[in-house]
Amino acid sequence: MFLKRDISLGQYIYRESFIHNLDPRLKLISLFVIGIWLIFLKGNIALLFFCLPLIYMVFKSRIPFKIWYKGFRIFLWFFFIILFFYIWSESRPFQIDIAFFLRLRNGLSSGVLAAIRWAILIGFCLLFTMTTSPPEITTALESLLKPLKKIGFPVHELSIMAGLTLHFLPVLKEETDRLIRIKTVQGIDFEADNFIERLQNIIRLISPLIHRLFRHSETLAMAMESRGYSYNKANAERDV
Amino acid sequence: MKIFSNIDINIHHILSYPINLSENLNHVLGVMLFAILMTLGAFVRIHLPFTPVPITLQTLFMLLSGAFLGCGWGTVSMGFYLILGALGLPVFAGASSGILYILGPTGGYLLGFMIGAWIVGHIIGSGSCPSWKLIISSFSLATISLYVLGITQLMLWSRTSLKNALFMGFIPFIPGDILKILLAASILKLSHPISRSQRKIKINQKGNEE
Repeated sequence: MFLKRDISLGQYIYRESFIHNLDPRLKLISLFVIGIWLIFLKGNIALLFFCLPLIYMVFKSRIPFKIWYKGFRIFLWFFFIILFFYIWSESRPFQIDIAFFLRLRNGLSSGVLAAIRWAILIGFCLLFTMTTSPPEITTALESLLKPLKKIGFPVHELSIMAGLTLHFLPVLKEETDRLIRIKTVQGIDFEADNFIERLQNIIRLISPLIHRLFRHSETLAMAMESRGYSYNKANAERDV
Repeated sequence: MKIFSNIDINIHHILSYPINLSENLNHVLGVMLFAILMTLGAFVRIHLPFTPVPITLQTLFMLLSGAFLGCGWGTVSMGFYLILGALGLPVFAGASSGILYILGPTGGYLLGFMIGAWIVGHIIGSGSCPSWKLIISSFSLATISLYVLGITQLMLWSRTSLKNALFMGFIPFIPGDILKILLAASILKLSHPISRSQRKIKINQKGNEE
């Protein structure tokens, strides 16, 4: 059932490596630079220059290959879409003549190149999300987006909200598990065969769940206030 | 409705929970609400076999966030949604690894949500009751700007001609978007307090005449 599924918080995996210890701002900026570079990159051999450091960093990050394989597998269907689209658009299959095979070859080669480009981007993004913990990303985003404060974009508030959301997801999962256990004891069948009955049973969870979450958030708000956090000044530290 | 017949959702119990909402906190709740709605909208998705861009309900909530929260907080709610995605929470269409979706071919649409919410909020504003014409024109303008950004990034990434990019990222979505614009406009119009009170007055007048 979907409520029992794990809510995975990002893909952060802790290891001792120099990539984990880098400044998250540096990682974020370099990720954006690489992304924009890949968009405007011309030439095929240049792609190799992205592959080599990526492979080096993958080895240095000490993250097992099983996890890399899992990360790449999700995007497998996208590789097929890219290949199919390039072959279709460049070979023009309805126009039959001798040059068809030549066009097919061109389409295949450009499709494979596009897929490689996409794979390099996936690799760098996975490297970033696996080696940077969510709180680190929030601090990096906050300090990089600071100039937006001048036009009135509430950067600090947003980062606080993001941090609180991260804090609340495990609480949400715990409370949901507890409530499911309570309701099962009360005789509610969450794995009923009838779809409408199952939907009803899930809806029965929502009211107490929201109530409990309100209580939790009030406790948290009180804890923050008692430690001197003020919403309007927004000068308190994050680690309340 | 049959589905909800024998369930006791104690909505009164939830709503009467003693929270002192200041004006700021009200906005914060709105921001969070629309971020959650965007997430739910991302889970309602239909993948077409020939494009990387899925059909989702997100444009509907983008339009509504601009209209309900105003241009400032509407943009902030979309920005909050993007930040949650960048942190690695599974909130984007297609779920998993967040920052990849912002940098990848469909990232232009995600940035377009912010621009779209800003445009809607800027044109409609808050307070006064907007007319149908204003609502629908602002919604269409926001949707078009969303697609301009999205198609630009898609075209740069897939390195195809504009015609191909339009075929991948715009033409299949036109009928759905017209429906979403109409739905969002009717939701906004029905839920606006002024138009609601006007309807009540009309109903009362009819009752008096009869």
